Amino acid sequence: MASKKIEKGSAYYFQEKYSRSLTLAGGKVERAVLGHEVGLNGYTTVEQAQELYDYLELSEGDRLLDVGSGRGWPGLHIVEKSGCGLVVTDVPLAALRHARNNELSRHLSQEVGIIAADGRNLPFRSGSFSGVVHADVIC
Amino acid sequence: MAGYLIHTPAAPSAFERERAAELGPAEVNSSTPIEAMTQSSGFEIVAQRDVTESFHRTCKAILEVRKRLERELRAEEGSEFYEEEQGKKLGTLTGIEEGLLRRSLIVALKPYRRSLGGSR
Repeated sequence: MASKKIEKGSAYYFQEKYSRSLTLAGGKVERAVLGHEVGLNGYTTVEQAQELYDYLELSEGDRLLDVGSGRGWPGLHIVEKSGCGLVVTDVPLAALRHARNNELSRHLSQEVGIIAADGRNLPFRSGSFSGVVHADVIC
Repeated sequence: MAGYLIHTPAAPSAFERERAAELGPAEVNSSTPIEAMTQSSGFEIVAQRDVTESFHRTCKAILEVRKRLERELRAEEGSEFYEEEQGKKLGTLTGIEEGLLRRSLIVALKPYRRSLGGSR
């Protein structure tokens, strides 16, 4: 079957990209190179996610916004380390479904909100978050 | 705010911008400098570090490991998707090696709250 030509960067492109589940072999690639396995599409290693956590200095009671979170990385990592609350945002619903699954698999005690929103027009009041994180989404 | 950005070098030519968009991830399509983008969000950059070397290493490693696991990946992802992904990663690696794609760590604060230590 001929594949549909999808315009790079289009909404359909990202929806297609995130519709694919992480395969066993794909997980092996992620673990080997990046040190984790969330179905990542970017280049943020565990060490780099840790660096973001160090810079943000968040703790329990704080709330983090992860813009363009994809499947929830690195926001979920920072939540695990800091105990802060988290809201992840992205446009493709497929990505957000994976983010929810990744959140559930980590058995976090913190509240994690998952919201479909475009980073250029976020539906939050100024001052709603203690920190903002993003990875390979703004270029 | 803290994050990693993939971007072109400062003041790219139109050709360089087009080539970077062609080679890079789908997200590389902005012609706005990082500083202007950050400021337009109400933040001010307080720390910036180039991590292109790490970006290069990671991209190369992804290609190599995917090549090593080619049989498994083709079986699980399908050959079309496997080749498409390899092509994309190779494009990104080429962009890095041509000096058209860079990656940076950016840390920024909201200026009016900096003294209060809030809103990172």
